[in-house]
Amino acid sequence: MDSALSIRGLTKRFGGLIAVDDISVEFPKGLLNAVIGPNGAGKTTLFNLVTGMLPATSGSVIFEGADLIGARPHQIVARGLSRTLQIKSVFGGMTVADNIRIAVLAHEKISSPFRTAASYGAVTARVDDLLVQTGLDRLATTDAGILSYGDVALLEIALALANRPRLLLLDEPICGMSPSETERTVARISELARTTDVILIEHDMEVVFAIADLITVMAQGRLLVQDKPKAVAADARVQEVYLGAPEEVE
Amino acid sequence: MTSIRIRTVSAIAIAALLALTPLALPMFGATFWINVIAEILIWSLLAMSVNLLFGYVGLLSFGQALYFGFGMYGAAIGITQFGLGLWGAMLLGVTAATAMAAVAGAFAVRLTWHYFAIITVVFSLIFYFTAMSAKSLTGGDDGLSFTAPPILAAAGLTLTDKTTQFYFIFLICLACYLGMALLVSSPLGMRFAAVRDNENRASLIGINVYLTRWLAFVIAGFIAGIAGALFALFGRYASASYMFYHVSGEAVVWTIVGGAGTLMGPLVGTALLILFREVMSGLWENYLIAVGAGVILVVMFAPRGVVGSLNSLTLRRKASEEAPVVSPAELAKVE
Repeated sequence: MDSALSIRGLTKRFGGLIAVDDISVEFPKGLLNAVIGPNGAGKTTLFNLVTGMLPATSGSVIFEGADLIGARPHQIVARGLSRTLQIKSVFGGMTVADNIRIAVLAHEKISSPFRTAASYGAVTARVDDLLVQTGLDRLATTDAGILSYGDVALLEIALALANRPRLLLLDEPICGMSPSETERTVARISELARTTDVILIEHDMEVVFAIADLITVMAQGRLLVQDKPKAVAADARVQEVYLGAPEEVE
Repeated sequence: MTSIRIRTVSAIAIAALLALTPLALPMFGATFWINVIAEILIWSLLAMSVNLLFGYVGLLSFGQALYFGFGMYGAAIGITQFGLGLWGAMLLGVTAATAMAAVAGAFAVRLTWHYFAIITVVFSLIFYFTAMSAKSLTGGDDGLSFTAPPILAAAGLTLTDKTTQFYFIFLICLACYLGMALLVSSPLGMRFAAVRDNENRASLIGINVYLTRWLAFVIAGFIAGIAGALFALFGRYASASYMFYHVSGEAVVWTIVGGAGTLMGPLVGTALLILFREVMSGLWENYLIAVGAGVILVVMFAPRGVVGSLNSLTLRRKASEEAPVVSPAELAKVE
């Protein structure tokens, strides 16, 4: 099977601490991949290495035949790989629509100083599409700085989609959402995964086991297991890292 | 009236008032003030240069006087050494300032915050001392004096006529403000805002943060260069003392008092502080104490400056006027 992303021997050391320890893993195309693991397993560090936000100590990350290691974040985004951040952050001083507009303009490589940004009709149409697609159209003219946490998470997804990514990395997209927001966002993510390859980091096990096609489990910077949800749920090693080793009963 | 319309109308009103200045002031026998207002317009361009970096891209420069100085000396040397006409001399000054900003910016925008501020000061100090010691070219402390060439010899337009000189400066400044208004609402201006608001996020939507900051730095140098060249022609004089970081610091104060990140902020701040200086310096030699106290009050109680505070006032009024009435049934539907 083709890989959406293949990681080979990827290692990241922070001084004496090994955050990501010689990980080699394939994320197949056409599946909704999830990465899980207890806190400190190195999931977000893995995303940061893939997207160029942290320099890797060694190893390679192959996306569409090219190694991403050494490329800068904006170059990686330009190749069609978008991500959202675990600690949600958008452009707080602009409206929701302008947040998306700047992302669409950046993707279209429009940077003229001689025309108003609002005068690009095709861009405005695409902004409206993304607003509807993420359900943010009701908030288009709201300042992004005063959105609820759940709406910021949706806006992050909209910004990532503006890039028309072929691979989308979502870092805890539903963290901080209310149950109804979670339900809607999860439905959107599974819908997205039909057209775009998605790799999802998520702590909510209910969500992960409901929508993921393939689960990759990390623990202490290493790859523990990669398998279908049912097999992962039954795996003794996975239970051990989440619940601790069963103690001997005297 | 929406807040954007209020802003547009006030900007047009300010421009119209300024255009009438040389006609209206002589009626009150206040011709002296024509030159004061011309000077305010020129200095407001230096504040605009600071504002572009600080208000729109989030980089606080204490070295914009360097590019002002390059514009100034470019124009002065163009006239004294190369015998250029007025427009040629201006072009030389602005080109020199822009080129210097392109070089200095390549180093400076690798850094942010205090490191960026420090490196901009360092650059301006290096060239300040260089200009001070290169007496044969710059005149050092004494500066260079010259006679300004005509604006358009065929039409008999010269800077010696106070009114002509005012309109020459006014029209160039007006063009700069219109250009700035277009820039900040353009796709490039949105890139600037994205980098200012959230550098990490900007790079994650495919924006080259370094290149964006560099472009802003070069454009800011270009604007400061225009200000410097205009000031040289206005005073028929160029001096290394205008490259000192004290001048850059004044422009930062004007910008912050007027309102960083607003189009008219630099003009309002520059006007307030220069008018205050003109009125007070004759009455009280320690008037700078009052300036300092005023600036501290603005920073503490109106951190968005005069124009920024007015803008949020109109926005708030608009919000209370247009707040939609939500019925309990609709609220229930949302939940």
